[in-house]
Amino acid sequence: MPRETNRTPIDLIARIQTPENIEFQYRLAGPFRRFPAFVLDVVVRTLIIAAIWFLFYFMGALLFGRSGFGTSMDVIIFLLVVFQFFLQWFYGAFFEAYWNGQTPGKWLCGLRVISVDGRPINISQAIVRNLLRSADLFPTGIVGLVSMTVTQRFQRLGDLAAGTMVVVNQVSWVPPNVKFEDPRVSSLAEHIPADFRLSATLAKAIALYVERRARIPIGRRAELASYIAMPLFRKFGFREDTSSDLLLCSIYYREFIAREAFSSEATTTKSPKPLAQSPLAYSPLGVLSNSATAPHSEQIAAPPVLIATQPSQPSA
Amino acid sequence: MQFDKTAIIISQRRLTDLIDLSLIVLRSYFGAIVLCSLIGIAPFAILNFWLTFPLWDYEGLAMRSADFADPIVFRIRFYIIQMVLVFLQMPLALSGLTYFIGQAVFVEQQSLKQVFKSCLQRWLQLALVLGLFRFALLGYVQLFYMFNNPELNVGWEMGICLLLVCGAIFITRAARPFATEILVLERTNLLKKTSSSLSPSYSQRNKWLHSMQFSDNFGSHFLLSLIAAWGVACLCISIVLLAGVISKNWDWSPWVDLIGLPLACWIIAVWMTIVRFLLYMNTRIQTEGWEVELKFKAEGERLAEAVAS
Repeated sequence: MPRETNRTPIDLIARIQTPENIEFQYRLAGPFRRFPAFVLDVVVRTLIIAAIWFLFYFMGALLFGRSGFGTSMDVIIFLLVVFQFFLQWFYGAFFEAYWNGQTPGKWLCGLRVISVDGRPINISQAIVRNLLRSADLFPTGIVGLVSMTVTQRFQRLGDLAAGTMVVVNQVSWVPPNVKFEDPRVSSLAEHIPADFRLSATLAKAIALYVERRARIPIGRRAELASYIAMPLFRKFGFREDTSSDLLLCSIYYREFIAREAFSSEATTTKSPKPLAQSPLAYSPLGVLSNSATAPHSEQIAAPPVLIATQPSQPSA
Repeated sequence: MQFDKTAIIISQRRLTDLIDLSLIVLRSYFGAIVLCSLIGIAPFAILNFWLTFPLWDYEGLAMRSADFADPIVFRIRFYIIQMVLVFLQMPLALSGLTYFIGQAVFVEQQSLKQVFKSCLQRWLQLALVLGLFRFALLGYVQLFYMFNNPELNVGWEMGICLLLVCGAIFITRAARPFATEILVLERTNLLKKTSSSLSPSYSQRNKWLHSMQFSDNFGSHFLLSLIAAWGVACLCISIVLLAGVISKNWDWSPWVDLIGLPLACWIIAVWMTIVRFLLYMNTRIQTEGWEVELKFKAEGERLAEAVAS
């Protein structure tokens, strides 16, 4: 049984380091993320072929009457079959080469083919990876699936031959809109000792909590927040029946929303800014508009006025 | 245990990403997964082989049958029974694998002995919930009956056993798929030790974890069932092709029915167990903010140490 301790955490991320020592990260698309794009491309190809066949028959009927194309029918069918052949084999290559690594299916699914060194693919790469698609689909797609499972970057045979990989298009991150309407949040924030500094990891953890808390049930919030809040109550000298959730919201408010108000020059509390720039590199898929309302009163054991000891005010 | 140091990055993911991630997990822990699976599966596979062997005599059964003269009917019946058996038994047979992956997430070093010792400590809960209520062991009653009376009873087998019982199990598992994880990883007891106990009972935990994700769980389970069916078909065809290339015998030979099909079913069951575990993590992230909890536990420990010093 392998005993793994120091390996890189498992994730769908490919890291590419440039010669200048700059690291890029790409989110890899595995076989099941790619499958809908593949189906969409099959549908698009089939529709194009059906439309062209229909068009020729329709035009033939219009131009030559019910007898169709007559003697030129064979030539037309031959041309259509040739067109169909090229469409089947070079549809993917054409789009990927001239549309920055995307086919219509990949575009709709937010995927892109790039070289393993992070550069856009060229025509020869696009042709090679698409010509080998049939090998990957043999006999029921198992060859491609096994190939993608055993390779680091989910590469099927076509990708291995062409030196390419499929990645998910990066979506720009929108900072979540966190607002606190409960006045006790800012009030409690004033009682947090001015010399209290958050570590980077703790700041990220609290930011993650505040941005996720709108989706977390109320009872669970108190349970989660207590892991951090209990040691902080002791550190700050607060009563332990103070709401844990409220304390974390106050720390978030102090650190990310009203930072200037608590800076060393500030003497009075300024009005909070509506939007905070969180340090959290939150997943684009998980962005939520967390318009957090008042921390629920039933969870708040004691309002900030019941704080036992009066901590120092923000330093002047 | 360092809660924020995990072998798999804990974050919310979509279903297709989870299935893709399961392939990486499979590759990363291949040896251990194979060992855990083999030990868990072996007793069930051997018993299934022995009990279903009389049902494999398609021609003999067709000749003795008054209703069905075509052996293909008995062949299809044999395939359905094999797949249903794996479907029913996989949560119990692969509970050791579930435990292993659960520990591996936290980079905990586990020997095979530890894995199965931990599972055996939960044998009563596993036997009751997965074995009896979810038919992993109760199914053997019907199989013993068929072993002694292999003649086909369409009404009973297809109507009651397949559609009614297996249908009910399918719906139960679709609605509440994480019974193994709750029992083996969370080590929840079937009943509360005392009424004032803070830790929930199995049924409370089961209800709580699944109630908010009913439609998601159901949809995921249905999609995964389709993928599993496709996977079994792919593997069977590949096994036949591989055997044909190697032996130059392209017949659908007996070993495909007796060995190839169950093997394909169990391979897919192992894969689906990994996917189910990843889905469980995702469900806990969505419903309980599990990634927050792990970070908070780790930060809380650091803070407590700093405050104490």
